[in-house]
Amino acid sequence: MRTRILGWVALLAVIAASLNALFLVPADLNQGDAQRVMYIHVPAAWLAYLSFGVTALAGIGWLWRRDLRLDWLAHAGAEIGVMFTAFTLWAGAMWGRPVWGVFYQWEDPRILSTTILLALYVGYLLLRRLTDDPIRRANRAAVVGIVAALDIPIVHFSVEWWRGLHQAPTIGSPARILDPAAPDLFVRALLAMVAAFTLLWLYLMVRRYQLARLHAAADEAARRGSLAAARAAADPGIPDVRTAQPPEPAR
Amino acid sequence: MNPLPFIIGAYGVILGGLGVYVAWLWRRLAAARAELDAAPPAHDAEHDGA
Repeated sequence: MRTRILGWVALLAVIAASLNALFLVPADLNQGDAQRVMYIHVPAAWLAYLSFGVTALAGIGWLWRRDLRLDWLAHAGAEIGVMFTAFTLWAGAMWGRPVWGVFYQWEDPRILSTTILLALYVGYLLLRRLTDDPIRRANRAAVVGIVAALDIPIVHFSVEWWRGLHQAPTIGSPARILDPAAPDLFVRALLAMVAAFTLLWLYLMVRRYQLARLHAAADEAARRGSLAAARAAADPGIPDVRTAQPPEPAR
Repeated sequence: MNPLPFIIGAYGVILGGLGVYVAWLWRRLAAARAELDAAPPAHDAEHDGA
């Protein structure tokens, strides 16, 4: 019930923040209306970082505590992070074409490192499909999830370490958190979008975690069912619980 | 260059994509619940022959 309320609140927040970003905030002086794409591009990038950060931390937690719930959390983060990374690249292309004149540029360090981040976590999701053994799957995924997360600081600081098409952070660098290089109205609209999308992310994470838990329970039930069938086949004296009829009540 | 198609493209694909993902997630959740309901009772299977 609480998750459902969270979903509705997140939906309303995303709608309100998007309408504000699209229609209420004034257009940028230099870039015009094209700058409105920034309000959805930045939250997508932030949530990609957050998702993969959760995946890496949950992977470390799994290797340390051996609790499969942490692996389910890591899986949820990776799947949702892949989606938000793809959205980041897409919104970047939609912003880049009218402002830079190109959808994509391989030479840009920010764009390239983000593409590599996407490829790494798509690989993570594919790796998870290689085995049905939950322990082996969690071990492999944890290692890849942690190593892949090393790309996150490279993505974030690439605009400061190297030259490229992509602009430097507007509010995301330590020097600009208290003194953003944008008007307050723009910053507030951006923070509203970030907050709304983070609520939606939280809802998606909870639901995706629930799905992983259900899959694990179904796998366990199937394993027990096949175990019971194997026992019944080995010793016909043991009733097969899947087909056995309940005893007649005593009269 | 008119930025409108790009703005619509960005917001449309992302908000629409999120909607599709939520629907896919709900569908997988419903399928997983149905699969679990169809599975043999874990308690009986665990204690069979005991």
